[in-house]
Amino acid sequence: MIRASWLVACLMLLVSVSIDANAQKTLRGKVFAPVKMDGAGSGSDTETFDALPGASVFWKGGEIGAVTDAYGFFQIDVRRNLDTLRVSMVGYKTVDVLYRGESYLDVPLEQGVLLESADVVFEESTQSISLLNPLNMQQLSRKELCKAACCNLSEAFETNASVDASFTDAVTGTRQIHMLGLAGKYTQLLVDNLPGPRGLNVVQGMSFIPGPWIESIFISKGVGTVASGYESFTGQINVAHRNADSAEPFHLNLFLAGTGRMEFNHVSRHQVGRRWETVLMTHGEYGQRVNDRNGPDNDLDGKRDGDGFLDTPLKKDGVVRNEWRFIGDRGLRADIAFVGAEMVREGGMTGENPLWTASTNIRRAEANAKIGYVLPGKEGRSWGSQWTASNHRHIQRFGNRDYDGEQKTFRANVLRSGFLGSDDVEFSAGVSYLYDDFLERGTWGATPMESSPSSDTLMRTEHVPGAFLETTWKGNDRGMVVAGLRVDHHNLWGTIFTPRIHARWSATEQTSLKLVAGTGFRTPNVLMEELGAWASNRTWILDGPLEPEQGWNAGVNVTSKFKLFYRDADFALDGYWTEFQNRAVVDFDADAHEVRVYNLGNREARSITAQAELGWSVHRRWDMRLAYRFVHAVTERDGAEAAGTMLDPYVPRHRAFSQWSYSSKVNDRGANWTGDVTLQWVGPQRIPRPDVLLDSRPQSVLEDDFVVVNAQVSRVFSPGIDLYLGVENVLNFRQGNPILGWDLANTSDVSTFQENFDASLVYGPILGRMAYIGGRWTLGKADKGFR
Amino acid sequence: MGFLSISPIGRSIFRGVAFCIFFILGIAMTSVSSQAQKAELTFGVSGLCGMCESRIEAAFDQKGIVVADYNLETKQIHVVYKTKKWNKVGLHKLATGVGHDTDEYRASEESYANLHGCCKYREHKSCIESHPEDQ
Repeated sequence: MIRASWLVACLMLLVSVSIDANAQKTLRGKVFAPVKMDGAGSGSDTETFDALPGASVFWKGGEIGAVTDAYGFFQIDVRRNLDTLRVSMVGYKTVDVLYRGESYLDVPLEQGVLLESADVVFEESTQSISLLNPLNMQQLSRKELCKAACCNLSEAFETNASVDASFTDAVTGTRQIHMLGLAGKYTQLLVDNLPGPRGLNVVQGMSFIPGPWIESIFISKGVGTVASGYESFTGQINVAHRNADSAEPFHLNLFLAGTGRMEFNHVSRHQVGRRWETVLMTHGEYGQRVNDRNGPDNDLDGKRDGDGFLDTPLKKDGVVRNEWRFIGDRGLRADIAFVGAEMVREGGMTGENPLWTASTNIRRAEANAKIGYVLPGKEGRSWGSQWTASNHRHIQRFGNRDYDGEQKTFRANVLRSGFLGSDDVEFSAGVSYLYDDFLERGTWGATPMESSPSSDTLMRTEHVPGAFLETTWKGNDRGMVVAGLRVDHHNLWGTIFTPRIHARWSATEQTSLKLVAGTGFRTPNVLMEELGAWASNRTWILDGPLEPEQGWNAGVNVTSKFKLFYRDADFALDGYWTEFQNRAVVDFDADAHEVRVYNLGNREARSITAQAELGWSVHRRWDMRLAYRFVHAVTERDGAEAAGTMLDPYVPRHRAFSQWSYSSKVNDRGANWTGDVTLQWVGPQRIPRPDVLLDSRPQSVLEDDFVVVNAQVSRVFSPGIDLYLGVENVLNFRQGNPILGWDLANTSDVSTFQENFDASLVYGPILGRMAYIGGRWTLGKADKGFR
Repeated sequence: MGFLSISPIGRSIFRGVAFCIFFILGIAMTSVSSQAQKAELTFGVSGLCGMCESRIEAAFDQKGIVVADYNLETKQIHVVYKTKKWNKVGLHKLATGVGHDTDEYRASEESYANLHGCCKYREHKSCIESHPEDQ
């Protein structure tokens, strides 16, 4: 490590000496720390400044530097090619100051957490909610993600109460999320503030984002901001990758699960020249062990025989991401990333000449760039642009049905931010263009018995130019309002207006009230959004051209932070309402052998949720989180009468959640133990009833509730080396008989099997207890210069 | 909307309620166990930076100390402790033990010498205080 940094330093020295050595002028300045003092007795705060002697000041990427004198003053030669001044002092946050030609510069340093050779580290909360942000946004840090196996994004929400993750079917091992009682497709997923998994990639895309690549996840409930598009209804989840600021020089993660699943993840950061830094990430997943432990629910000794179907598919996945950061002259910044992914999954029946198998192959390539320019003068004024291009190909064969889908996407977004009149009103305005080309071919309309079914095709090309304006008003310490409007012109569906508003009012310093309201719009791609339906005998009936889904969402949230028995606690209460004007209704109830998709029309569909969450630091070593969530999600569908209810399937009305975390005292070598236990109670929910010949229960019966317990212990041996060991589903709850009609496969009556087989009726865990072990190895520290 | 009503789900509601009671009990027990005689004390401790704050708070990470919160701006520590295990002198000594002077006791030269360079508050303080008009 030291040798590497020497090498880099020498390289930088060589490069910079050869480029330009003409000292033109001198920059003077002062480094100080603002200190707030309570005005004794008067009650008012006054700010004073402590000069910081001994702080180091140098040009980023250059060889010259200076140290502040006893009064905090410094003097440094200005170089033509260098525009970023890095000021650092042990015990303070390092800052990078953009130099725009001043002759004198004041550099305030905040007392900070980044400590060189530090022997003590601040304890940071791993799940946090800001009282000031008008968006009800929860941040999950990397530490929080380390509390569970969290191999990829679809599994990252196990320790979170707001987002549910469940399997789509019993064959492919695919998980999808739910937020505010609605499927993940109504939540806009962003990756580094750019559009993330969407379109044909909306469900599977989450497994292309490995947990160890993630720096933090921002979950905001309710419609998002207009700057990132019109697609969010129930929420916005932004995943921040580890980048040039947050990645350590080298990080390696290895993972092995009891099911034979192996994973390899790596993140490394490299300085390439003075202006370029790059982060390389790789991910590999391999699981070829045959697991068949679930099956009929009739054994008394708790052991179950297999059902002849793989519990988890055989998989071979690989994802590579390479991001480049460019820091240019006078405020030019660029982040350019390339992503390539391939996924191969084989599932279905085991043995020779299996009757039914499922195979999936996904190939994806993506390139994106963010190029920005910070305007000279006052802070907060900038130009920015975002560019994304991707090609996604999804090929699958489920039984006798094929699917081959391809999506080509291009998106450009140029935005300008600054102030409107006074400093109290910030604005962000921009224009965007979205191109989406979908081509889906396959035999989804075939009945299970057809040996050479005729082919179906769906084609759609969307061109959507648009413009948006978002203003943020913060004229008052107590309140803040973000109001946005975007207007898009869709080549197929006309003009779309998307108004959205977020507001925050602080009742007290520790309690804030947030409101959100706005509309959402999205075009459905049901074949890929309802992946689970492929794992069944159901024939797809796409009724008429599907119109875009439109709806509004409104919500209210109260968050309060307080002391409970002398220790920090927070409490949040929220309620959200999502109402659809149109929805692509996916109806499993109308017929047990069909999945019907049709427009909602003038019928009703809505979801109402309420959630209460309490977090408390019980003890120096113990933290606790307790949450309860209620969902009422209904859709007036054709099959509602037959099912005896309008309730959406697979949405439990009640869910309670509790997490306990322990962290031992950190010893002199930086070693400690941590432990986490998560308990989840998932209330009764309904699944679409299969054929009456196979299932004698009345239509409106709900499935049993269940409890899932996950536990993990990890040991940090020294900073940078840790090992973790965990068990998922400790109580070994498994949904009984997840694959309907499995027993018919062994009879000679092949057609009865093919006409009744259904692996999509999955509401609970299908894997039993699973142990896993993993390790992390980190070299060096992150370079969090830019904040 | 008559078909919105669902068949009785008493058993599962029972389980849900049991789940909640389990946790409320847990919280109640924690609070009962912390009913022992407690006292609060606030006193001055010298410190300069975030590193000092962490060090001081780590020193107060002891059995019988419920909360120890050091405020760098006011240079005061607020401690909630069990009177059975701790007294005022003991608490002051926790700070001096890791090299930080309190408003009543002075840390030994050895423990002060162990402080990180940037945390040498005795030198830094005099340096800043001698030129207050510069700030």
